[in-house]
Amino acid sequence: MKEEGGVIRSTARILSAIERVYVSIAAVFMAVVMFVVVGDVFFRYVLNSPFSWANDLIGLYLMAGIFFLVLSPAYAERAHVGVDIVYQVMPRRVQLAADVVTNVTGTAFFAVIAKIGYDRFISAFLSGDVIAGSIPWPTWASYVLVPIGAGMLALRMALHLIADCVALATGARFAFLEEAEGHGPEGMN
Amino acid sequence: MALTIGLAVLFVLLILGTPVGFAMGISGVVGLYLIGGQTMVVGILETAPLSNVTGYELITIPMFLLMAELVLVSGIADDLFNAVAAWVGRVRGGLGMATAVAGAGFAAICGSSTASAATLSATSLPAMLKQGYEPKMAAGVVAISGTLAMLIPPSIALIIYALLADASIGKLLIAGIVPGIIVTFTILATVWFLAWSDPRRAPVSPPTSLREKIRLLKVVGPMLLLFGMVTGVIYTGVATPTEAAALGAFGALLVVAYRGRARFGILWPAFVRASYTSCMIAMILLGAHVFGYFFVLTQVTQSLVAEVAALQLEPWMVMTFVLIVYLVLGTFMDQIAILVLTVPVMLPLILSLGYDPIWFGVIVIVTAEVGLITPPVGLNCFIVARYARRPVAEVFYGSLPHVIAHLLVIALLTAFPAIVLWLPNQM
Repeated sequence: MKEEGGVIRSTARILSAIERVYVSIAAVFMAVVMFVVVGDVFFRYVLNSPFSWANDLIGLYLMAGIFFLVLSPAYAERAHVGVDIVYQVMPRRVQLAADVVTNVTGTAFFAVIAKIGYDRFISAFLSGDVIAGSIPWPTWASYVLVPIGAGMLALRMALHLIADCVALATGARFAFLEEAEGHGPEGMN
Repeated sequence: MALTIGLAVLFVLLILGTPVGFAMGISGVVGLYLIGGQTMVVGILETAPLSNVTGYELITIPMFLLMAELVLVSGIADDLFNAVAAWVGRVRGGLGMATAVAGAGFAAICGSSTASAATLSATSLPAMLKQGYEPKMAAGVVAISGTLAMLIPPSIALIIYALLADASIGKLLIAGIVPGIIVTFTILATVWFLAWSDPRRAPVSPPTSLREKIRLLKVVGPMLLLFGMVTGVIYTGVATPTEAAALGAFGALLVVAYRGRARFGILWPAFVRASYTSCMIAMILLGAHVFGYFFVLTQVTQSLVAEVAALQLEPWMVMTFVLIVYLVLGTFMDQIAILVLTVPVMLPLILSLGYDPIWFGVIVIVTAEVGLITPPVGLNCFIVARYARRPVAEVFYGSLPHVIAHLLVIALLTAFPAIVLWLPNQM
């Protein structure tokens, strides 16, 4: 049994390592969005020549990157807000059972999004689709973010599902399930 | 039938603590599948996840969140409170009033009420307690002052409402100004009343020298700069709300640098936190988007509007009922969750009664503020309790006078929509 828990823990460490890379990229994207929009305003008002490419770059890649890359790490940190008034008063075992429901449905939901996104990415990649605009940005580079992000979250939720089941069956404790109780980063209102 | 199953799935998941965005997305997919089968689900899931985040106006959310994080690490809030406290500390209840004014000032440069409550808890609360304030009263004024951030622009909550209601972000943000000032004065009046009815609650501060008072004013410069970079440019139409948000974040970055805090170890976590919260909000919007498709197909809002019309009630009676629903929801649900779950249903109803969508957005936010300071899940009270290390019940009790005062403000703004709509109509 201990061994099984060991596999779960090492998988969790691998996912976390990948997620740290994801988050770093997203944080850089965040800074780039800020500088590009500010630069666009400056060039438009001061030099009278706005960046024609700014909105496509931000919309297609940067915003999509921030969203999809952070999707899974945010779940790991419990940063996705929920109505936890009932959850918080549940006994731990009932919480685990509730988490099983969340993780079963969530794995399916994000796996489907990842699969559909993957098909769309492959099709755009093979046909070399570009957007109609002053710069013909390739669409696949944007579409690929969907399977990368949603796929990662599906993997993470599947891992949590297995850990929930093992914890329910054996009473094993997994730090990654419990360390981030309650809400994660605050400040959304 | 599809409607019942879709809603049942949604509520079961929400009760089990599934993240709101996930729960809405999953139940939306279940409902869509029941109505249109696999083709419909694939069609929507192919485009919705990406198109949800690629909209130009959505950029306001990460940028205002980044601005809030940077303003937090700049330490400007401490100085803001100290400056106001030095000027009004000699008045009875002065530090309480300073908290409200600092809360309003902070709200003008930060769009997140939890961030604001946390900041005020860390600065003004210890100052009041040191001064011998009744802890209950001190905690209450901090909790309510934090809510100003979701009303006074930039406000994340108003932007989310605008995205859901397909209304002008610029007009909504500007519409929050006058009600924000009214709420600030209401807090001041409540503090004054509490201090007047029992002076032991709020001892007067020792005087500050004039030189010190003037020295403390230097914080006002950066604050006005940020306020001008955001609300100023939106109001004058110089830049779009998206551009204003990025300018605000950039301005906040400059303030951090000016104050000598632009170190990697400080900035990086701010960017990371802003990405997390942006993702969380975008996920909720995606869930709402998927669920919205399903909801539109069930035509439930049209039947609701028709049924309410058939009742032949006066608009104000319906409006009162709607407000009571929001107050009840606010006691146990997150404010953003309330917005995404209710606005698509409520808004058509409100419009059919002849009300204005901008006005309704402000009313909903002002009403939602009450939920932040009422039990059992008033988030601001929990934040204050945690910082102050006081029992949360005491904070709730201390917020009670402010809840009552706030309800009067809601009644006023509901009765006189012109108070809300006058300023945005000048744009």
